[in-house]
Amino acid sequence: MPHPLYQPLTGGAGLLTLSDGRFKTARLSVALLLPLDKDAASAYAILPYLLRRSCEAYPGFTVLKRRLNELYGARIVAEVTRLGECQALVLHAVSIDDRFALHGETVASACAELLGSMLFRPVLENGAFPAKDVEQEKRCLIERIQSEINEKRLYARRRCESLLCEGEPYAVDRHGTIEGVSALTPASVTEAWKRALSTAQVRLIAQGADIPKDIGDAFRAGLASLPDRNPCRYTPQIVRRASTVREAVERMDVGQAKLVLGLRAGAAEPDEGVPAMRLMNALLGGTPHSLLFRNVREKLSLCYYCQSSYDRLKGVMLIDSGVEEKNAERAKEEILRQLDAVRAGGFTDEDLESARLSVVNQFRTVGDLQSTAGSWYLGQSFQEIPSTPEEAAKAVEAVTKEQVAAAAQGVSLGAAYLLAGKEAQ
Amino acid sequence: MAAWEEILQKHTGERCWRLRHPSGLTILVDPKPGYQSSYAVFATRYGSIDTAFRKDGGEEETVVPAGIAHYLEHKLFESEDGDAFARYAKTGASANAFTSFDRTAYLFSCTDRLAESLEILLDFVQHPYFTEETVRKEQGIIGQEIRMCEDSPGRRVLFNLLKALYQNHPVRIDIAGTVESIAEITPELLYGCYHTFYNLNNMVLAVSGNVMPEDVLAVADRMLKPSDGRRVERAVADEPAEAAEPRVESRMPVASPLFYLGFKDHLPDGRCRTAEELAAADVLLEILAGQASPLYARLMEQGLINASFGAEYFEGPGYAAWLIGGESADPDAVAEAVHAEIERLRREGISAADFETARNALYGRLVASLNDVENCGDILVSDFFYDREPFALIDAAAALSPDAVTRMLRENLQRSQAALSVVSPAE
Repeated sequence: MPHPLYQPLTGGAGLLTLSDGRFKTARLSVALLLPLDKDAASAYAILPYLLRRSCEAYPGFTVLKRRLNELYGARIVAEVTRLGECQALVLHAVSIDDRFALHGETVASACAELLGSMLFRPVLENGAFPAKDVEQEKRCLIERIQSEINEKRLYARRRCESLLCEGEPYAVDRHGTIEGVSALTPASVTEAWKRALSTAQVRLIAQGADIPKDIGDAFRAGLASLPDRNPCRYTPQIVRRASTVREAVERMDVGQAKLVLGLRAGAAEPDEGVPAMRLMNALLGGTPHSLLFRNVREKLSLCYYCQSSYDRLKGVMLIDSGVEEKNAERAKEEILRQLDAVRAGGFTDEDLESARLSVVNQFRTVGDLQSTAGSWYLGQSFQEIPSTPEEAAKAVEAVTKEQVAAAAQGVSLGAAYLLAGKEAQ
Repeated sequence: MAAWEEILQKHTGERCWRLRHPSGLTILVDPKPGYQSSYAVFATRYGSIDTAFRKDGGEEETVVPAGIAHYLEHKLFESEDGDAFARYAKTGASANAFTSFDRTAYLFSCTDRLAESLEILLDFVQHPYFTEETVRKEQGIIGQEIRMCEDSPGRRVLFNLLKALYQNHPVRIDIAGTVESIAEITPELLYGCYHTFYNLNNMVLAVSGNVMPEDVLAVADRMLKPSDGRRVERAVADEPAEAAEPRVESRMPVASPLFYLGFKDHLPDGRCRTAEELAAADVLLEILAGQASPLYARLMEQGLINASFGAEYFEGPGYAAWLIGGESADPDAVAEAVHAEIERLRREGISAADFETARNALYGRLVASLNDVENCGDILVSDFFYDREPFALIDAAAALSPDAVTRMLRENLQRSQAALSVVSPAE
């Protein structure tokens, strides 16, 4: 994977380029990073979806989509994600590389131009987003929030995070709330757009075989033209130790119960303990050979999945499992027993080395897809110098057995959430 | 000696290699220079639709419990001395497997020690080991997997649709089976299925990414045990053109109704569509229900669909359907609008500009899909199982004629072939 080239654009904005001839597509992403805030989240969340609808030259969704189809199915993708305690509003433009156009058209730079135009010069009526568009995107966003309940595993994980981090920005849903979205008006959304542009940290990530030198120009000019741009600082609230264990049981008409444990990891960026925690997570529950998979699923046959995941930006670990309700308590005990074993160094060198290989393998694969490489560097937005996946792999290679045990000792249980069927079994 | 055949993808320069190994196995290799990772998939033409088999070419048909192909996939990971995941753990490869309607696939990706991981893959898939005890133990895990799937509204709405579309074809049976059906599975049945369908002549190995054909051949020569020349003939289901029932509905805890409107594609001879036909089927769907279509704009404006709306052509041997689905407060109104739009297109025809933009979109999507090492391996497997040349769809899309799309529209998407599946919020 080529080394990224980073250049600051103006205050609080930066462009990262990844030149890479292997790919058949060009990809340009622009991300506005804003502090997660329960009062602002809904208005910010609607913006990417509203902005990707149209732009000056193609003032309606259908004409714009038609233009993108002409450009060999180029895609403008809107996304709202969470990075630590930031709400990231992201637009990606993805198109085939000009080399593959059937009639020699210029595709990639046409898409970059569309993206710049969408962000800075959307279609406005009397200085505000068109009421019809706002209403349509409000409905879609509300339905998106409502449908979070459909995917029970994700829903349960989300509920456990909220339980663990109650009152912290991390608990705010990246899409806002149904009430918040319902209350939006063309004026309040337009106001949010202006506020986002003037206060967000802005990251541009350009990927492709032949990235034009002037790829950041439109964005530089757009940002420079804002009268009072004053990018905010990012200050996440890191809780290193849980003071209590919050418990909740929710009942729904489901056949399989979901048990999710929320833990404070004790290490978050930019702590030195992050690589050890990454390795600890893989050893405990990050692979199909992990202690949790082998013991809770294979040995005890308690569940179909039992996995752990680690958010290094917030210092939170989740362990989730699909179990029969009558086995949930046993599964929880076994999960905590496995965690205790790691704390006491009760794992073999072989276990540790296979976890390490798996993490390193995963990092080395990051560069093989534009989407994963893009996400990787977006996740590095708060580091002064972004680290490459190779550097992260090296850091994990250097972690010792003692450091892994120490990382596990720093982990504390803060929440236990169970989604279970309506009839107690 | 077997020789590699080079296959060049005209428009993208993608180059892959094909070999019929003396053991009977077809091997496909797609080297992707500069990539760190490699991906290997070893697959058999055996999925949930294979519900019966004949032992040793005999006349007597053994009918097997639903979900057995998937069960076999789980059990194959075990051997007398431990499971395959433990062996992969030593090489750092990330391994998995899946069972679909028409295939079972074992796969891994890695950035190092490809030959060792490939050896593990070829070894464990060729060495079944089942006992009463290990087979019984798996019932708990798979039972949980089945419950998890039953809780997924997205899966329910699709499987209900297939039941409504198909009268006889086994694609209407759930891949994982039921808690009851998997309770009937025995080691003898597993061995019977294994020896019938895991014949190398019925299988394919595809490797893509950081790999050269000779790397794969060296491991294959060492590891592959020649299979007898027996080919497995898939039973062709007697499936009429018409849908079994026009509408099915069930209730689950969902926020708003989920739906799939499906149009059965009539393939009576058990075959798959050719690359050209498939390109036409995809372009037709883009024109009818893509995001640039008038139908999409209208339904969005009327508040009948949201961002979850989408359309795809779903296919396998002897079954295929155009699927249009998403969430809607009124799925029946969406279905009516789709039927009306099909009638309009039939009446007014497809304009040259509409054809051109939809064709470009398909071509661009296919070119972009080659970025992904794993996707390339999966495409090679599908193209092989569906009797298409590797990556043939890209050339077919580039060379597609408007007539092929018009013909596809004229001959298909009839009301009698349609079914609507709805999952509504529980009361």
